[in-house]
Amino acid sequence: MNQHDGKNLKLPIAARELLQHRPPMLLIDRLLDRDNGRATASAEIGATSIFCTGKNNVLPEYFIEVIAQTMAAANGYDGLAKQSGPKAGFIVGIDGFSLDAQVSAPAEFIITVATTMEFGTMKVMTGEVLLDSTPIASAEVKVWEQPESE
Amino acid sequence: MTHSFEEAIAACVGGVETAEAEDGCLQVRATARFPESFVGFAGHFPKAPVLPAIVQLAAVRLLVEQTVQQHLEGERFSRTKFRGMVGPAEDIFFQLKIDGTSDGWQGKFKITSEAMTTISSGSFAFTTVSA
Repeated sequence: MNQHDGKNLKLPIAARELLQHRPPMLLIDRLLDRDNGRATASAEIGATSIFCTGKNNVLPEYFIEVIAQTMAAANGYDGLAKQSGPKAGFIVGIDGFSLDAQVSAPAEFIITVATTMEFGTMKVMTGEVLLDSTPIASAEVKVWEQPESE
Repeated sequence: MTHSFEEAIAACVGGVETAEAEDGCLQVRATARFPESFVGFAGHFPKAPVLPAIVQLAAVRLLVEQTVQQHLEGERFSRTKFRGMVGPAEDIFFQLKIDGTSDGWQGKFKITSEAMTTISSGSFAFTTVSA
């Protein structure tokens, strides 16, 4: 049950309260900021995470998922503000995903996303993952949000 | 028991066949079935498990790594579309076309269902790990 009410939302909010994802697939920790179609979240990964290789390198696909989960958390925040619960969102398209170097765990990332287009249940957003303020991965992700009636 | 996401995915992918096309590209076919116990279904989503899109992309990368016998570092995906959902214990089929570049490998992939409908498709480029 959510501890926040729509009239008194304070950031940061634990991702668990905004997403339907649960461990081990809940990859972001907190939604830090949400404003005018933009959102910022944090994600911490330990060296023993299942998303690491035996050499403690973070799997490239992890970065796509944290971008998508940041947008989903933003949608969950918007839903909370309207007094509704989190909805399931699914990645339906990825363009321009780029990760140029291996990243070692443990590490803490900041993820920023911005909605560039919205049409009904579809949203297109650009996202960037930062490590120590340095961009390390980026992508344009298209997400379909499941309507409440389904 | 597998301890990493990558190992869990690799354990579900099999039947890998590789051939060289007339244009010199490598063509790869493989099958996969992710059981209900697959770690990627846990928490995605609890009431109705769906194979995460990133599992499909990681499987593509692993197939390229297995084919070219190299560990790949940089990763790019473009024009990737996910048209269908995959649930537990469904058979899915991979088709990859891989071409060498000056610093790695690039190509296209398509994943289809048993009914031959397209689940996902897209383009990839991977760079090799520098020594």
